[in-house]
Amino acid sequence: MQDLLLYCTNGLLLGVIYALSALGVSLVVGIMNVINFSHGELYVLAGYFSALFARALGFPVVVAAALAVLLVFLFGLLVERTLIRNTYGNDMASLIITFVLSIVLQNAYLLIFGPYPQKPPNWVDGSTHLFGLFYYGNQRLAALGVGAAVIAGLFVVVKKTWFGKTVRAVAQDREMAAMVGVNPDGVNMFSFALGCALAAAAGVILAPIFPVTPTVSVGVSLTAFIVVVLGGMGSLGGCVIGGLILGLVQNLGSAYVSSGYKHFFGFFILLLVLTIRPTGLFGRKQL
Amino acid sequence: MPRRWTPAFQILMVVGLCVFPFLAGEYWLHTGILCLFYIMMASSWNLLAGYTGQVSFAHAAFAGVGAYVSGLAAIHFHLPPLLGALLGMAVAAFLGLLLGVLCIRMGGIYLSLTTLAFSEMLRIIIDNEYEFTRGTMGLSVPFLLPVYSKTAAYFLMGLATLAVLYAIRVIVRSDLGTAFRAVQNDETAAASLGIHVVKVRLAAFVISSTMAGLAGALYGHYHQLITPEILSLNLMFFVLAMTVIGGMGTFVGPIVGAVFLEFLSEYIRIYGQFHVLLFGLIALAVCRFAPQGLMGLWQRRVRALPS
Amino acid sequence: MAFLEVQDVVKRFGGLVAVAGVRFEIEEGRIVGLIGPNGAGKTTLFNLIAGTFPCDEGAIRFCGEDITGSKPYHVCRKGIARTFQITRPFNDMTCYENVVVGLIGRDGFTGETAARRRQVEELLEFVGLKDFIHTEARHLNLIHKKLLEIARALATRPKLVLLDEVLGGLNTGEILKALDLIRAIRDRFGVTILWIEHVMGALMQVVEKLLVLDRGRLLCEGEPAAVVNDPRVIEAYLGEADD
Repeated sequence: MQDLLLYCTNGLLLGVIYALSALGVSLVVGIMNVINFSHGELYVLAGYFSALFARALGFPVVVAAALAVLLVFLFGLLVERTLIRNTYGNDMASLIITFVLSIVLQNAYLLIFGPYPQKPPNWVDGSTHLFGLFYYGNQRLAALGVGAAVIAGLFVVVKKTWFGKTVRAVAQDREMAAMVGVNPDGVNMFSFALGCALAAAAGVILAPIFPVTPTVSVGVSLTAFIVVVLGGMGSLGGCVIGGLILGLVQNLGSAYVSSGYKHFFGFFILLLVLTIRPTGLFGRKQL
Repeated sequence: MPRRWTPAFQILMVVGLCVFPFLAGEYWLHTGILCLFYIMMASSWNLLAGYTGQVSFAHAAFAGVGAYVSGLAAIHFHLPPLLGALLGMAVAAFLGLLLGVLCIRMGGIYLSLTTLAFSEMLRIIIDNEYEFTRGTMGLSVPFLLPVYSKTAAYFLMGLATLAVLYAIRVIVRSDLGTAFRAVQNDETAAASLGIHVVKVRLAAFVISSTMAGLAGALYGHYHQLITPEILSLNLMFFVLAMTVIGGMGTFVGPIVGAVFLEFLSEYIRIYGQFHVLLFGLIALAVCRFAPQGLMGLWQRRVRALPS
Repeated sequence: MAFLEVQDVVKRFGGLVAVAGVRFEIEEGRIVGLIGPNGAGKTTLFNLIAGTFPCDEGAIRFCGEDITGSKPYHVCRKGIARTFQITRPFNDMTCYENVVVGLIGRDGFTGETAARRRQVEELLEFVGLKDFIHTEARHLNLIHKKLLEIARALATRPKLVLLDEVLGGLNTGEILKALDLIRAIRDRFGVTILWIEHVMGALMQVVEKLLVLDRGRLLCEGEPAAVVNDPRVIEAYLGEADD
């Protein structure tokens, strides 16, 4: 019982972060119909940045994290402008370009940061006695809280603000949005960068707990893609549910079946979704 | 190149390729064999991506399926490697069919995501089932032929490469190839003309996976050691970069790309890790500035010359 | 048994009802015009008949067979071909290959034969693209692209062709030629034609029956002369002019 609750808490934490990271992918798919295969590399980049700023430059951890997210956001703007913009309407080209970019970034990290795991300092120390059953790291609880807060913030932005309405207009009908005066290029660029920033947010939140290496990015990307397919492409609510499901399944699966197969459970879910309900839990009927 | 040169050029190529193993040393012969492997991989991936517009990330994984199936069959059932290669092809085709049926009807993005997941998961299985696969230690398997000979391996791989290239040539020029290109150009229009888009895509996926299975099986038995590295995204990336740099959707592009990158990587290997990064940067530049690849640049140049 | 029966079909996109219960029949061998103000649901109706979208309600019967919910390739093999409002030729392929795709769709992978080659050449000559037989479709101008789509559609040996605005952007001389072509499609191939068009004057010269769609509903149908003088039709078009 005690173990089960512990695994569930871990699953919840991971689920929230998976959801956060997947929201970035889902947003970009919904608006631009582009899958960013270098999503995980941006997560890792933010992890490295936050470790670098906090350890080498001595910034306060929160400032380091915020700065890392901001830099990845700017990097996202740059990538959209230089590499993605030319490929609109050609899904294959953007797939290939972002895949190549992911390999380039992985190898660049290897050269710059080396193969060793790096982590920023914890935001908080100590642990809390949960449910009267086990001690749980405060850092993990903080990550859970911050992750949930960022997701809530994103939903407010998308559902309530002018930006959110514009974005949804473009996602529904690009030509119509252009006719009423929205600049779709600008929206695309900003949305792509926002997607990158969400990957970065997930990265800075998890890096103190799971240190980053150049190759963890593949798992991060795959997890995000699986969550997006599970929740339904383009559905933000589906992402949150999908993230939580995957987080729980992975943790319980690796606890009770085999830890080496942690990522395998995600794949199993993916196959299940494709077989039974290819549009995902909350997917639009047609893509 | 002027058309009347073509036969002479072809004969020269064949003669050149036949005498190559007798002139080249061990090292360059090995490089030549790797080139053949990459030509098979890139050309068959191009059949899928370049002619039907489906970006599969499982091509290296299917090569891995071919290699492991053939290798394990040789170890456990003493199947001769050449028969094992056939078995590997068959299993790759079967898995390709299953995977394709699952994701192709949902469209291009789903294919890319599912194949990426498939290839990672296969790698996880092979890493974890080390009692069976020897995990990252690698699986020692018998050589292609009863007697060890690099030159013989070269000719065997050469024959397989010719067979693959010939098959691709025939398919592309057949009605099926026309359907491939129609589906890539505009699937809505193709469907409106009575083309069963999903079946056509599935055919391309299965054929391409089968060829990868063959390439992987031969490669494994040539190396005599099969590691999960063959399923890695790095190998997938090489294949993709070769095709993109050479020119997607052309017959010669992947061949040029494979030879170019393989020889380039031999020259810059001394700089260690740089070569993957460099390939990536070249591939990005090509995607951005010359989407038709080297073949596109060449054709533009030929057209620009006064005739 | 009617040739094409559209029975109370409904199509919704989210909250928008694009086609709100349309019912009509078409007899074999006729040239029928389909008109209506912008956004009346004409192209959506085509997409429903061709199977591009499934109907939310209602049924479509063709030659006595229920084709509701059939996939586009299936509908095509049953004998319904179409052209697109915004042309969709296979850009990287030659005119010859474009037409071959239609033949493959109908007959399967038969391989290149002398008979097939002759068929392709005849079709391209029929629509007037003989000189462009080995030109890639991307290099064609708009009229030629439209003609290519017609040739491609005819290659599937249809019984019914859905033409979506083939005259848009053409000058007077070109329109006259196109009208001859459309008559010839029916007379030479015995193909029934359902035709969306905005160029009313030209349409009136050819069609034998007119259907008017407005806001997803069938406003009226009948003899062209009678229909265009129908007060409801005039009102629908005047209403559009006010916007």
